[in-house]
Amino acid sequence: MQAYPGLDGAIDARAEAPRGAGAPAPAAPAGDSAAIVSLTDVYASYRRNADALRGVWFEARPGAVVSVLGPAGAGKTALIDVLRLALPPHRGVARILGADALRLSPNTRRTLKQRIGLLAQTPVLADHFTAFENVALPLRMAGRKPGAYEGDVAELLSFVGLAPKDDRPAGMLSGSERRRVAAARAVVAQPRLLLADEPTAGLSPDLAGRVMRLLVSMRRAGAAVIVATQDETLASSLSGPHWRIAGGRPAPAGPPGADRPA
Amino acid sequence: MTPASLAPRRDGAALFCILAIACFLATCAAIAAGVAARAAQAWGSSVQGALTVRVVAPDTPEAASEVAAALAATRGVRAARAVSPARAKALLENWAGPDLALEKLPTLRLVELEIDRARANPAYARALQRALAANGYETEIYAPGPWADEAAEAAARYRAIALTAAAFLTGSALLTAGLAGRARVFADRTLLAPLADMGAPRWRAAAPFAARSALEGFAAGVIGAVVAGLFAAWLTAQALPRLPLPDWRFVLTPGDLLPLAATPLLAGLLAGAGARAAALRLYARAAKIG
Repeated sequence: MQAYPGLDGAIDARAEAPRGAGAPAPAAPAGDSAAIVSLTDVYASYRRNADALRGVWFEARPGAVVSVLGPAGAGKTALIDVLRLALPPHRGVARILGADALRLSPNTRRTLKQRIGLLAQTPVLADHFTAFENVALPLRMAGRKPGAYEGDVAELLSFVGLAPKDDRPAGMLSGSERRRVAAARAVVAQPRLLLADEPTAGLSPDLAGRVMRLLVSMRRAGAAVIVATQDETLASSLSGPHWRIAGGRPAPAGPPGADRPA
Repeated sequence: MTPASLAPRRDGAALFCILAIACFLATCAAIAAGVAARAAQAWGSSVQGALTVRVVAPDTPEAASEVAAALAATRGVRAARAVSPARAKALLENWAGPDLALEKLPTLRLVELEIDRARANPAYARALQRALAANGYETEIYAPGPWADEAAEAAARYRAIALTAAAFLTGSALLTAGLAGRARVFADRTLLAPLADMGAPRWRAAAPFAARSALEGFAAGVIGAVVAGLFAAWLTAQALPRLPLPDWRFVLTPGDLLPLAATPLLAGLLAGAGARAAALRLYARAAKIG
């Protein structure tokens, strides 16, 4: 397990990171206590008769940085897929950003997705776009003018250690570069719900620290940040709440490593 | 940002060339089929509706012209032409050989008739003969034998074959256009998953692919059609002096150039539609994985 420079304590709002494109002044999470995500006895599956999530009770509130720790195949990615509205549950109640995920019209689903930032386990980029164009994509989709976001996108790319003027298409970037581009893209539009699946996989400790500071900084704007990982060090460095997942069922837990002898 | 600005920049030269060649072949086939179909129809009609009138009396140089003028005004007669003495002589030479003493034979006074196919029967020929007799012209009317019906049937078959072949080639070109649009989307599909994750509208995700593919299909169609048009014009210029039938119906006409306009439009439409359908399908797959 790797240690992250500057992350030997909890990563929280004190960490410095760019605010993202057109970001409003940081909003205090306090006073907005309605859960951003609330799953009640949720079952979901990719294939018939093979539930990836079984009876999940889960919650994330504004400003929370939630870690979901578990081994490969435990259901972390399935949980992320449910939360990003890509995998509809077949049982239970899933309220995401205030809407019932089982009763979404296509328009509502689309609107909600615009408020969700995603850093997938395998980052999917538009391979013919540059890193800058990939990061700017959510803002372009939102109808922002290039002049209004160019500086912010460049700042985000610089923060994660990428050159804003790099004109290589994303298809030519390394795995580490692609992950950092995806991280910048996930936060650029100031999402209300930020989902990160193994966000530091393949990154050097220094770059992992930068990426995590960037992701966690979203809590300052009142977003719920959910980090799924099998890295106990990373999970323990987050402020919590902490969950452990096994067999498709997450359960609340103390900070990873807290029960270990000193 | 306009949707088109999301269009992939990937170089698709090979696909473009294949589509242009397909459009060239389809345009050539459509032009050739149009000419062949019209020629076959015209030939079948002319064979079945052809009559030859020999003016027996009065034996004057003007008799053939007078009969032709009278027949031209008759219902059911589409055209009536007096055969010149020189051409009549040439016909006799062809039929009887060069040793025939033509000067000892009476001058042939002939009229070529084209009649409606519906009236191509012995009764109509007899009616014409009676009408001419009533006007003081003694005539003999010759109709083609049963071979004319067989020839007309063959012409109809050739016409059907030409049109079917053109339809297959055009269909293949249009299928190629649709597949080219689809291939373009699959080659650059990595844009669709991020757009689906970001909640971009379906139409907005598909529009750049459809617009780009439609433009490429149109451009490939224009190139294919222009080359085909030039080829057809060159072929016509080469063939025209050698054609045994000096009839405008058997050569290229402005109407035959319709495929030149239709090919680019259809290629663009099909390429755009193919790309749009593929983009929407991939978008839906990316948006919902369960």
